[in-house]
Amino acid sequence: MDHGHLHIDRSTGDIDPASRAALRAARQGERRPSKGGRMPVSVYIPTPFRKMTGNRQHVEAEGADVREVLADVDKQFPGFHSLVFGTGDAVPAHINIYVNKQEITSLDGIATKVRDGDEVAVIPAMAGGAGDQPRRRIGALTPEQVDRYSRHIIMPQVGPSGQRKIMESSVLIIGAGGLGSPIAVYLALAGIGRIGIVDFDTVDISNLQRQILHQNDDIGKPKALSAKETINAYNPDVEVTTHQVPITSENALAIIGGYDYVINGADNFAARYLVNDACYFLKKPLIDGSILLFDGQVTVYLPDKGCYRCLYPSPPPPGMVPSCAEAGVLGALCGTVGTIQATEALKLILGVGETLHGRLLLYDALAMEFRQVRIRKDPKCVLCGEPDDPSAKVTELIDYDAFCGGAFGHTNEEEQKAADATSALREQSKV
Amino acid sequence: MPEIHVRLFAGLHDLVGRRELVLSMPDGATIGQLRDRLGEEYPIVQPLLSTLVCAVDEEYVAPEHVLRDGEDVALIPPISGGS
Ligand SMILES: [Zn+2]
Repeated sequence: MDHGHLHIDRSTGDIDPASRAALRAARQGERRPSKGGRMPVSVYIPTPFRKMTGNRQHVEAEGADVREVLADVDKQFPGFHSLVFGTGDAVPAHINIYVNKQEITSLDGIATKVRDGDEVAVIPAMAGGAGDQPRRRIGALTPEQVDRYSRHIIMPQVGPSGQRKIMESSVLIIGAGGLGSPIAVYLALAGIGRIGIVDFDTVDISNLQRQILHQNDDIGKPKALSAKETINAYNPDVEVTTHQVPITSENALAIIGGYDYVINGADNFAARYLVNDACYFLKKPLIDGSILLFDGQVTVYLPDKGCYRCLYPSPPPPGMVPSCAEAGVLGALCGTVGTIQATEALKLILGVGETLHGRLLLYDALAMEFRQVRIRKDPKCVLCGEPDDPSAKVTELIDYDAFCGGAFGHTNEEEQKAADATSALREQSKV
Repeated sequence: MPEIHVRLFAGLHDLVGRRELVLSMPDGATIGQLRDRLGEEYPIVQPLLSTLVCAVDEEYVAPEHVLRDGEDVALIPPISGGS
């Protein structure tokens, strides 16, 4: 197909109507047959829902109004309706539907009439407003940007085009804590275009021993908000989207779908399996890191090339591997592991060097040793492979609380243990 | 009897109280059997055994891997901390 005559709006990535008509004409041959030569409506499928449509960005459907069109999509891709609408029939609050770029609540809602050749778009709105946003485009760097990023730009592996790649990318950071802090700070300084922060917690004084996104004055503030302020104090150019919600099976695809890369700084197994599975379904590169006491682990999972479940098919029994809250963690260790994760993200964005894909990096701060283990995709992985028992195959997000045998996030028990440990410490230090 | 050097990683060494140990295994023993032996000697790690990543000479191996004298084994449990 000749794309030479297309007119694409640089700011939104939109294609103008004339070009769209030309595209349609060019696609004529591959369109499924329609009654009486009718022109079907084109439905834009955002990234989080694309696993339903075999990864297709646009599908064609017929109907007189939006409701009928979406019902037709569901007929072609069973399960689509419940993925978008949940169990109800009304459009959920977090979903916006557009007909030719106009939001339907300003028209006739779900009953809005459509005509042949219209475009219907189904867009999940995120907490904080990040959607399936079109890729940002950076033109020439401003003189101030050239100065700010000069130590990047003079490196042959980066240069002005590499710096533009950094500024055009979006990265989601799970957790604004020990790992999320150094990750967010270095990515902000590097000029990442959009950083998403998922954290529903508030800043506690016990966080300040290691979480460099937050300072004394932030105690009591939502961590995501404190993170946004710190990031923008470092670099006002960075757009920050805050997701002040626990990441769950219900919202993970919509949140993660809005970003190019995901960096994991979660602090429990349930969230780690959830983020892994969601990244697999959405084909997002995942830069994984975890810490405990004086030890850290880092690796990179690339789409269709192995996943967390290939390495750790099942979580340890609850309570066997303590959290940082229970067991503690050396503050500076977070910096080492988090900056390695940030480094790997920047290398992926720039397309330079050898990432930790296929290798698990093990950091032992007490011995001050880095070791690595070569790892591989498990052909029988229940998520990304073909398990011996086909019914074991994970085909959608599951109940991760049940899978990990405990409550999501900090369990009350963990919080209690941490509180007990803190009060015991207070007693000891009086002696 | 192959002598196997075993290195224990985060979470595991805290339970065992050592970072390294040497285990004598019968000829033909697999790394899965070595893992079970660790559980017999240190029952506290029993619940973790099935989750361990086993590596020999810095390369992931399946539990069926047959151990040879002098091999360096790494046993790596998952850790979940991030905050
Ligand atoms: Zn896998």
